[in-house]
Amino acid sequence: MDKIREGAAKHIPPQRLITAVNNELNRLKTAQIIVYEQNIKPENEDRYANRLKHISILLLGGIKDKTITRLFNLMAKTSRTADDILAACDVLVEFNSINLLSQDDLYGIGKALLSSRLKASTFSGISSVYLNARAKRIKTEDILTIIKNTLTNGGGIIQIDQEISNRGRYR
Amino acid sequence: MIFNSCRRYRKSFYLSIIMLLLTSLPLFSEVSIDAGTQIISVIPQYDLSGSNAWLEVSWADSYYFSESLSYFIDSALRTGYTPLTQSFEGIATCNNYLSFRKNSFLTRLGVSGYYDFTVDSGYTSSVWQINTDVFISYGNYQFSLYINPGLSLLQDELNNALNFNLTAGAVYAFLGQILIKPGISTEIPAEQTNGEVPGISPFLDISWYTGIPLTLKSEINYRINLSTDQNNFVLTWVPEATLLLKRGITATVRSKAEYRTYQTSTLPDGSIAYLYDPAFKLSPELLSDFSLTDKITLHAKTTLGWTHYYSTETDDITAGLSLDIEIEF
Repeated sequence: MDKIREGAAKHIPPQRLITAVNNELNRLKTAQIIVYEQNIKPENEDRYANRLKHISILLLGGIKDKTITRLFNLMAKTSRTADDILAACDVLVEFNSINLLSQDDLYGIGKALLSSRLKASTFSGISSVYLNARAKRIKTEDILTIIKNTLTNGGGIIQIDQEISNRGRYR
Repeated sequence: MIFNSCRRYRKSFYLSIIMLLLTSLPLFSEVSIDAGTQIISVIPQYDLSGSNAWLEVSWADSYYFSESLSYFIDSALRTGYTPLTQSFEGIATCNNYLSFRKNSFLTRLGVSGYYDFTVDSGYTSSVWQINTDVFISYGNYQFSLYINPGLSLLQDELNNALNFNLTAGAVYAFLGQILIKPGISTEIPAEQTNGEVPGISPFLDISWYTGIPLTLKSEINYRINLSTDQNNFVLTWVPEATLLLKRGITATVRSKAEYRTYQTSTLPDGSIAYLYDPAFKLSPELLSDFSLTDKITLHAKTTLGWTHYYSTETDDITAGLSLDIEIEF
């Protein structure tokens, strides 16, 4: 309802408004399925609503439900919480906003983040490293491989920074 | 002795570079062609004589033999033409890095070199340089120590310079996003034929990977020239911000501020050569990248350079605009 009120106030044509609301509803439905399938429904209703909204934003950011589910499937193996998985997915949205990546690439980065020794609160720095490496004209495939190999080997931002420092060409 | 040997093998070196570039061409999967132009003006005279056009072909590739061992190579051949001075420049570069990471260790061996050939008003000159270094780091995702010894050999028409350099430092990841990198580097010329003097440079670099598509960096370097007849220094500060404007468009704002005192060098015959006057330099830059398609990127660079010389109370001001299109294959 908030979305409809906001759209109406901005004089958005009704047809566009209906499409946007439909899309949002579909995303929320998908989010609900993920939450139930993965058994990650918080007891608190507010937290539940926030979790649905969070997953909806991930879907809007180009992360497919299959990719999110695959990452949730790593929860036990990597001893991570649902919030950690969502924090990793947030980073993938940032990656996608820098340049569009395949779902396999996004899953690879997500998996590396979850397998790393990094705390979830520091995941977000990796997207800035990615941006910086791209500004240095390092090839996308290369940056992704460096990030994945470094994180799975126990390294973090320091080691990625050291790996990319000698690559690329600064103009 | 070293330089005489080098001269003897000079032709072989040039041939090696050409052969390396030619033979490696089919091996590389990442080939780019970059064509651009640079308009440079001296202000207020509007002297555009330094403006040029250039074409670059580059090859870069990486080989990941395992999760621990990787090899990276980047070669380029660049030709530039400056119409107003009718000068032509050709530069060949090749950088090779072999990295090995296992647990807390990272070792990287680097060998790089370039050959620069210029024809200016019928006069030809050339310069080549080879650098080799070993980067050894030990640490974890929060803290790391490293040491980086290296050797560089430069030769131009008149001079040779063989320099040993050593950098050592530490990196600390504060809050997982801010890298604090204090360190010290030294440079020791084997011979002073090129006016090089030994120096020591404590530095402090800070990189803040903010968590949103924005990176902030600051590099402060204080070089103290070590020579019996000198007591001078160069202080530089380079702040930089890289941000994403929208998908496919990035911008980097960088500015270099440098204050230097005079620098002299004692030549082999005992005379004193003045290399630098005391000066303050400020050179801000704006670099923008526009991804037109997956394979085509437009790069734009706007520069401004201001140098103030304290001894003569004069100023040099230049402005530049560089545009190039990079096509990846």
